[in-house]
Amino acid sequence: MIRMKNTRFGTLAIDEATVITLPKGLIGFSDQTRFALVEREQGPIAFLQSLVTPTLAFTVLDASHLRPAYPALPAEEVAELAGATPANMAILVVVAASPSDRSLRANLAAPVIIDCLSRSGAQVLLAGTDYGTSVAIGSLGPVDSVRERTPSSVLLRSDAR
Amino acid sequence: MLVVKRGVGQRLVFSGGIELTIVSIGRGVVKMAVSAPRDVWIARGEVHDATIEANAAAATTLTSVFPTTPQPEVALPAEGST
Repeated sequence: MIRMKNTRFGTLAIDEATVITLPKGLIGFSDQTRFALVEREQGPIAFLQSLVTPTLAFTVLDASHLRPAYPALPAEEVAELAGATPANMAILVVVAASPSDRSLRANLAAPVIIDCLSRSGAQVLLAGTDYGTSVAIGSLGPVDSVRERTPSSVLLRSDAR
Repeated sequence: MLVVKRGVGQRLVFSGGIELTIVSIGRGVVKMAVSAPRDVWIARGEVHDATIEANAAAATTLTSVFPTTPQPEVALPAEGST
């Protein structure tokens, strides 16, 4: 069990089996290589909590909540960019609240691809698409707020190994 | 940094199986073709830089926007481990 003090969630007790490894870090944050996915009780927004820097957590959204289906690329192509296999692939998009109106904006150009079995992955840039880096989520249709067994939920399960 | 002149049809080759070919040269615009292994992503510099900004914005998005239930200690669920 890993204990992380001083996170935005207080002290986190994290099962080593749930740790997500991004060997190259997030883009612009190459030293942040180990994360835990912290889901909220309600809503599809989750946090990629850094296990390197306790005070650092990134707001993310499981891409399976996006409509139309995202990304509009062959799953195999997307998976290969991160060394994942399509069947075990979870896709997270980094989201942020706009400072002006607090609307939710997602970077659809650079998803975080994670292989649920190896629990490792990478943030990749999608070439050959028109995806923007700050897309209002509303323009993609409603965000499904129903919690189902989404890939990110699977990521938290140690039996997914 | 390498600064090199290349003409149409000429290539630059990088380690890791990456190749850049000059396709055409227009008024102030160069068209290039890049080929790389399937696990290498290629992106415009602006998109890369905007992604750094977007990541930073996500890191500072206040918890108050997406409230979490405050708990002194949050144990992430891991089935099979008690």
